[in-house]
Amino acid sequence: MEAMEKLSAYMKNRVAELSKLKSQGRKIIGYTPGGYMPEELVYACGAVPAGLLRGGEHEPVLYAGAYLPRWLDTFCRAQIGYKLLKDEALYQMIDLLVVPITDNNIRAIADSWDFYTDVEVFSFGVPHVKNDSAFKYYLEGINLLKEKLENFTGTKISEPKLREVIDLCNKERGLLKEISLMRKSQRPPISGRDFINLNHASFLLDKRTMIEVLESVLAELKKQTAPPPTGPRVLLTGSTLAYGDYKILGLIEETGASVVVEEFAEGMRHYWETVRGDGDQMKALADRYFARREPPAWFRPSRERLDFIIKLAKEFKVDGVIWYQTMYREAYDLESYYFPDMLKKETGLRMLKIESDYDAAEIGPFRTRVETFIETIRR
Amino acid sequence: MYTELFKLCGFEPEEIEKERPRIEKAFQKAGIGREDIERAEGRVKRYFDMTSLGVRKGLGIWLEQLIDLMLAREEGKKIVYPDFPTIPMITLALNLASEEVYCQTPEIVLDFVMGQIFGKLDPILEAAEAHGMPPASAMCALKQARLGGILKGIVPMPDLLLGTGFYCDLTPKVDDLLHEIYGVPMVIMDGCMDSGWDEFPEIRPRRVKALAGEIRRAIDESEKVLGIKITDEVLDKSLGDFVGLWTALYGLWDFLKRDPMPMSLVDLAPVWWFSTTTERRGITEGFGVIAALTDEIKKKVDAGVGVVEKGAPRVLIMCHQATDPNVMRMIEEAGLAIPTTALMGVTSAQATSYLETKYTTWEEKVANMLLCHGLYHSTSGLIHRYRELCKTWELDGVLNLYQFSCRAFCISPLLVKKSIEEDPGIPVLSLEGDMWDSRTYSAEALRTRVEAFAEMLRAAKTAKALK
Repeated sequence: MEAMEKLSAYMKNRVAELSKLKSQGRKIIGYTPGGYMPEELVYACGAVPAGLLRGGEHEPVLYAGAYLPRWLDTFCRAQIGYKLLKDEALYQMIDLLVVPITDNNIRAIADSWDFYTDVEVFSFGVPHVKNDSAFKYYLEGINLLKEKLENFTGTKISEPKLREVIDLCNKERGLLKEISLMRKSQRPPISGRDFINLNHASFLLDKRTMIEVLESVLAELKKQTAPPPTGPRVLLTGSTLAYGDYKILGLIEETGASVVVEEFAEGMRHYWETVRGDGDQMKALADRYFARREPPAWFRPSRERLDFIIKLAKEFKVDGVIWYQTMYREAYDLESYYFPDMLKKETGLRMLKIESDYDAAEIGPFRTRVETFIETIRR
Repeated sequence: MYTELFKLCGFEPEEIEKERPRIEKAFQKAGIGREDIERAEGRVKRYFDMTSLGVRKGLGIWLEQLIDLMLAREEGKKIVYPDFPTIPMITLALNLASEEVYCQTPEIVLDFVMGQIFGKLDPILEAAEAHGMPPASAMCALKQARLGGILKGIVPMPDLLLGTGFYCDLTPKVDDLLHEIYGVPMVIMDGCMDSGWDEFPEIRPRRVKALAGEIRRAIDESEKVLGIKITDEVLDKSLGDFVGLWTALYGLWDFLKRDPMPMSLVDLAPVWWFSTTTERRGITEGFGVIAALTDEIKKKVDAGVGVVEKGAPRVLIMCHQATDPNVMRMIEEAGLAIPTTALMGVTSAQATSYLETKYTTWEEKVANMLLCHGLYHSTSGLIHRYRELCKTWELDGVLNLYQFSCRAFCISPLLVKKSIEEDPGIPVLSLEGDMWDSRTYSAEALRTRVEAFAEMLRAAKTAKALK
């Protein structure tokens, strides 16, 4: 697809572009990609958001061992590794790191950056239940974030500007959703890998550029005739699917199966819901980012998320579910124990669980397990 | 066959006779046989100071707590399982509110009795490992004890799970599993550790208010599920009793500042653990045990008796080992005094100072008290706490035997090491360990490194004295 080639070119240039913006005085606001940081606030004060979603490589994880014990989530450990290894240019550009604290693994990112780097860190908490007081706490958190961003950039966030960027971000979410839903078709016009690439790019590219790419992709997809499927349809779910962590995707593709829908806590933008209405915009953001966002596994009770995965499995008519999580993400470990029974009962589908520590040596055992699983679900 | 064990644990013959039917019922249920009892007799003699009536009575309270826990269902109680970390004032309030309610953290009882006393915890942990908490995933063994104890039928299925989610992420997920699979009602008191790096000891009012709201919600939900009323008088009494217990405990602890250190941390473990899990028996009989221990410790101080040599280097550890007293004994055998832990307070005065607050409602006072400690505040709060302890207790080093399977605690070890080595400038040995499970991190597995650290501290102390 031409649009995907364009995307690739934009991504290659993005670091240079960010560097230029930074030299022009624009602040680069890094954030953890768990879907609880309203990017709208960053755009509205003239700064540039950049999701820290690099992962999949072993070296940063090893390097992080000097700063954090190995018993924390792999992706979260890797983040201090990327920063202190200094190989990843984006990580060196960050002026302010925003960390919505979702669990202790994410808190480790905030604390390790706070302690070992000179980057200022701003944290706010994300409660683990959905009720009125939790909503209020999250809303207070993003109000504090707004205040912090205004002070940090020296730009007051105006209501019209916020409305404008909300519309922009809604447009991006809407396009991602439209493209994703096309995969419900028995002949999905876009591969899982391409969709994931698009989704990952949305954390890094300029919003207008991203919208242009998504519109082009959509137009091309509408024109083309997709080839018939060669293997089973898979739902890929789990804790984190980082930018660069494509080992599992490659193994699934090698078997001829296709990933037709994904559900992840981190690394994948949540595009199912948009920000609503004209009223209080901060409340509308909290409504979208907290109240209506499908929760990750550290929320309780766990039903909402698990029911959502079952719904996706049914709607996208998948043949099996692959649960891909990073090591020591305990909330996911616990749910992966009782979810297969729920899934089987509701859909008759089977699930394979894979855990990664971003280690190259994993690929052999992963291949055997994925190949066996795909064989068992192949119709 | 168990008479001798109960006598060792401070029971009078007539008390044993009276309790006999309950003991037999509970031991049968737990699969405790002759071999286990002989092992328990050996363990208590080996690890605890059996010349101390206070220590023996403390162990006895734990044996009784296991029996109470196991028989709670058949004795007609409404059972509530608070989680660890607990909010002890709520546990106490529920126990005080109605004689029909039995509220206790089962995993602590199992760790103390099946672990420390009987050395028989492994099958309970293995049951959890087979049901969602697999080995090699760094799952907290304390939570495995909670799940495994229930699954093995050693402890009854509760009527209410009363969890906390303001520090540990796994705790509420284990309750979530029990809720999903067995339909047990669950209330989780949520919270977010989102304070800024340099904020401690300041605590954002919004954090206090939010946690207070969750505490109030838990009380309201508990009333509904259990059909009881928790009055303001009960709440006030629970807070008063708790502060009273802790003040007495801190008073006892202050004696450990003496040189030579007069009593082992192992021997204070029974009172420390029941002060964190305030079941009715622990709180009512606990004062008596603390008083007995205080009398004994005063005599030891007067006689100049110590558990380690006079002048032994003094170190801080994170927390009492909950299942294997041998780890703390091994540290003492290496010639190190452990006068306190990171989870303990600083002085007896501090226990009451927590109540001097601008907050007025019961739940706000409790929330503020929890956050004041530092551990539940932030990593920087915890570092602050370590520093304060090092200075107040004039420590020579920190033996940071950290809980590898606790994500919340795992953030800090290397940060603590760097911070403490800078200020107050004393050596820190960071050691991976597991206070809830000694299968991998036994005393023998840790001994060589602890001995080398002790040698280094002794040399440093000698060099300092010669200057």
